Order: sequence, then structure tokens, then C-alpha cells
Amino acid sequence: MDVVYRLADKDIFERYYKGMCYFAYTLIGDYALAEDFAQDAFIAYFKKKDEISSHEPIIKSYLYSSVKNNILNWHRRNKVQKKYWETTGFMEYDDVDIHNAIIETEVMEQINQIINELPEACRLIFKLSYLEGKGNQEIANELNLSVNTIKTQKRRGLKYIQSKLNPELFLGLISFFFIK
Amino acid sequence: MLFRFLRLNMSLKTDNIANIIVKHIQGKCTAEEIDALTRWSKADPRNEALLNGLLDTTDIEQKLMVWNAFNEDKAWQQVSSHSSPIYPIRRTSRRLRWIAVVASVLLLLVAGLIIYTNRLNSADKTMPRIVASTHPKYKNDILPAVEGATLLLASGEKVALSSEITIEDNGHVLNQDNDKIADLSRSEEVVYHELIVPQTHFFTFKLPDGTKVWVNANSKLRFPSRFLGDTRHIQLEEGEAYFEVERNEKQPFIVETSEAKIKVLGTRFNVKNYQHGFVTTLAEGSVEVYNDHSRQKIRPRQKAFMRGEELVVREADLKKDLAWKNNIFYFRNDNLKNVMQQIENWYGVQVVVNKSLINSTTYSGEIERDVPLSEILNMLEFTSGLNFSLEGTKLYIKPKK
Repeated sequence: MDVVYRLADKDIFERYYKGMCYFAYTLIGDYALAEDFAQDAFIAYFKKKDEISSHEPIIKSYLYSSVKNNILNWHRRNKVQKKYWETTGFMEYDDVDIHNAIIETEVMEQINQIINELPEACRLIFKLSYLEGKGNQEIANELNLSVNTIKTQKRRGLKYIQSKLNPELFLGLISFFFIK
Repeated sequence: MLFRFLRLNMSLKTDNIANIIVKHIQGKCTAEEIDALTRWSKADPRNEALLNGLLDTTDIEQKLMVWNAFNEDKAWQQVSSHSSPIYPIRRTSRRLRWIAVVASVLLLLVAGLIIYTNRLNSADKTMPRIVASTHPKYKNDILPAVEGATLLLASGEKVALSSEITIEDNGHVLNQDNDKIADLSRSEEVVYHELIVPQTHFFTFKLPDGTKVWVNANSKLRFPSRFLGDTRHIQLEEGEAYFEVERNEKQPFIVETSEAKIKVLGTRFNVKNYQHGFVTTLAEGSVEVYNDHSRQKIRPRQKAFMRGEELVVREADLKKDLAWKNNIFYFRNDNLKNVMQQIENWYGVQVVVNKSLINSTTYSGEIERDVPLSEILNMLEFTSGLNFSLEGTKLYIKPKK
């Protein structure tokens, strides 16, 4: 049976892939394996998508379950290698661990959305300065803009984030992104 | 079919808590919502830790880095290129079966190895170096790993090594004072010798071609008495090693591991193959990594690792991957498991972790490895919410109260 990938499939994938990786990562702490589990969940979903409601919370729920179940199975079969962590009781997840991993993922998704809603130019500068750790001059060279423009855009981004996040809680984060 | 998985998760409760936390972050919570959040966080220490983590800017900063480490474009290419999804799904279960087989073989090997090493030489046992504590908080202290290894010759002879050695072309093994301490040249045919670096030890040596090798704790290397033929071939049976390979285009240097082979002409690179996975990181030059299923070329500052049976290439954090060779502990968004595996290897302690600690919390920090354990613990305690106590070789970790 072949799967025909529709445009909408890619949308779903783009919307939830990082989240599923993050969820798996919080449980197993390994980037490569986290991506494996996330990809397997999507592949399983695409295969079954005709049987599953297209209501988004249901799709998301299916993906979470799929990642979770595969991780639990993997742990069960992987016990011998992990015997040390097992004797300390470290690797046994209960509902609280799973729920909290979902909560963390959901919160991170929303924080990322807020960042993604930044005006385009601002976001690009944000990405270069934060995610790639580049300095003002470097960004200015790369984008062919003046250092002053970069500073203005950073200030604009800072104002925007301040209007979206509680400044009392997030002052440190904001200054890390924009002021340095 | 459909409802079976629905029941499993995303209860209203989880969804709600996430929304309230985001509202709290935005400063828009009602009094009732604050109440609900407080009740939730009091219900379990793990809830409290999660909430604190999500309200702490340094934690969030690290979490954002994790979030953005994943790349959906590359992943989409991989997922959508499977025209039939049956293959990858089977791949998963095959991988699981494979892990089970490896696990049982591993168990036998470990059992065999324990019996074997015990029988061979009980003096090999590596004891953590327990000393009196100079810090009132700890009952005792433990000194860092020392230089040392065992050379197991093909003849069965064992040579204890306590400092760097050089293996000469004529098979003579020289110590730092240029004294001959062993001779590998007795047989005409090429035979393999073994270098074993146990827990709480590290070692460096030079091969006959001038290549320099750093070997981390818990590692085992096999190398020939001389490099004859078209290649210079050595095996990293387990553990971690860093190679500075002397250039020789006529005789490529090949490092073989259980997962993949690495072929180079002259270059600097790290190979790690402990039981939790194979990674090779390139500092300089160019190397080719391959196994039966795939083949990859990696450039400097990139690493290759296994995904299922296939090798994939990513950008590497050179400082982090080579930290051990530069004699530092360098943690960057590492979870407790990764941090503690390194501590165990280096100090020979057994870590006992309190169940209320969450594996997803990550830690960052940098400290020289050449210090007593108490200094590492002080650093970690200062930068994290962890509390340590040390009793003999048992290291207990619980949340700070």
C-alpha cells in the first residue's frame, strides 16, 4: 500500500515535528533517537490518516501516543543495556512524567509561536543573533544592512515580545535576545 | 481503533495546565488560575520542578535551543521519500529486535569479560581513589582518573603501563624515558595486540606510523604489530579515542568499530562508541565513514552517528565533543544521565538518583577534569538544583531542598 502525500501532510508535519522531537527528547535525552521516534510516529500516522479524524487535537493526540508507546516499548526491550539506570529506578516513567513532558512541549510550542509571530525582518535578526550567536556587525554584513538598522529591529522585537510575555518574568530572556 | 489511543493522553488537565502556564508567562492569569497552578505544582515535586523550569529564563533559553535543534525540512525529506510507509515501520521493529539480540549478546559478553578479566589478572581491578575529605559537606572525596593502561600482547603476555608509550617501527615499545618495556616484533606474521584503558584511567600513545592516539576511560583498542599492506588498520572495540593521524596517502588509516568504519588519509578526529551509541567527530581534514548500509563524507566541525542502521551527518559542537581530550568536563544542555555517565567513568563512583529528579532537566557547565570529585559536585550544586552526598564510592543525588 502506497501513501500519497498531500500538501496538507507537509503542513501537519511542519506544525508538529519539532514538538514531537522535543517531547521524545524530554523523555530520553538523545537528539538522534528523539528524531527517530518522532519520524516513526508521523510515518505511522500518514499510513493510518484515513482512519483518523482530521480534527487537529486528535492528530496531535495520536502523535503523542505513538511516540510515547514506542519509547515505552523501546525501554522495555532495552533494559539490559540500561540496567544501571533501571536499578536506580531512573528510567521508569509514570503518568506524571509523561503528562509533564506533554505540558512542557505544549508550553514550549506556544513560546516558539510567539517568537515566530515577530515581524519578518525582526525574526531573521533574532534567529541570526540568538540561534546562530552572531554579533550585530556580523549580521549587518550578512544582511547588507547598517548596524543601526539591526539595533532598531532588535528594539522593535524586544517591544513586541514584551507585549506578549510578562516582562517581570522574562526580562532576563528578553535582554539575552536583544540587548547584548 | 481510534478511541484506544485517544484515551491514553492529552487529558483535559494536561492541556489546561499548559495553557495556564503560558498565561502565567504572559502575566494574564486570573486568581482562580493561579490557585489551580499552585495546587497542581504542590501535588508532585516533579510538577513544581517543571513549573520552576518553565518560569526560569536560563532554563527556557536552554529549552529553546533544544527545540530549535530539530530540523523539520531535512526530516520531511526523509519521511516523505518513503513511498511505502511499511518499510520504516518495519525498520523500527527490526531495530527493536536487533537491540534485543544485541542486548542478550552483550549480556553474555559482559559476563564473559568479567570472568575473563578476573581470571587473567585481579590486579587490574580499578579502584576509585578514595581520600579523606577536605570539604565538611562530604564524608570522603575521590581523586580524578590517572594515566594508565594494560597492554595485552598477542602472546598473552600483559604489560602494565603508567605513562605515555611510543611503538617503534621495529616493534619496540618505549616509555617516556626511551626504555624498552616490551617487544611486539617477535613473530613474522602480523598479529593484533590490545590496549585496555579501564574506568578511572586515561592513556596516550604513538603508533609506529607516528599517529598519536588519546584513549578515554573504559576503552579497548586493537592494533597490529606493524602496518603492512594497503591500509593502516586498527579496531576500537569499545570506548572513545581521539586520533591525530600522520598523513600517508598510499596507506589510508582505517578505524574499525562495531557500527562503522572510518577511513582517513591524515587528519584529526574523535571516535566514540560506548554502549549508548556511535559518534565520530571531525576536527580537521576529511574522513569517510561507512558501514554495510551507508557511506558518508564528513567535513571539519561535523559529526556522523547512527540512525537505525544508517549513518547521518550533523554539525558538531567541537568544544563539547573534544572536551575529554582537552581534559575538561563540558556540559551543554546535557541531561543528568549523560552528565553522570561521564562522572562514573572518570571517578569510578556508582550514582544513585532520587526518583523525583526529572531526566529531561538539562545542565550546563565547564570544569577541568583534573580535580577531586568534591569540586565537580560543588560546581554542579551551585549551577543546578541538585544536592549531592558521597558515601564511599556511592554518589547520591536528590533535589535541593
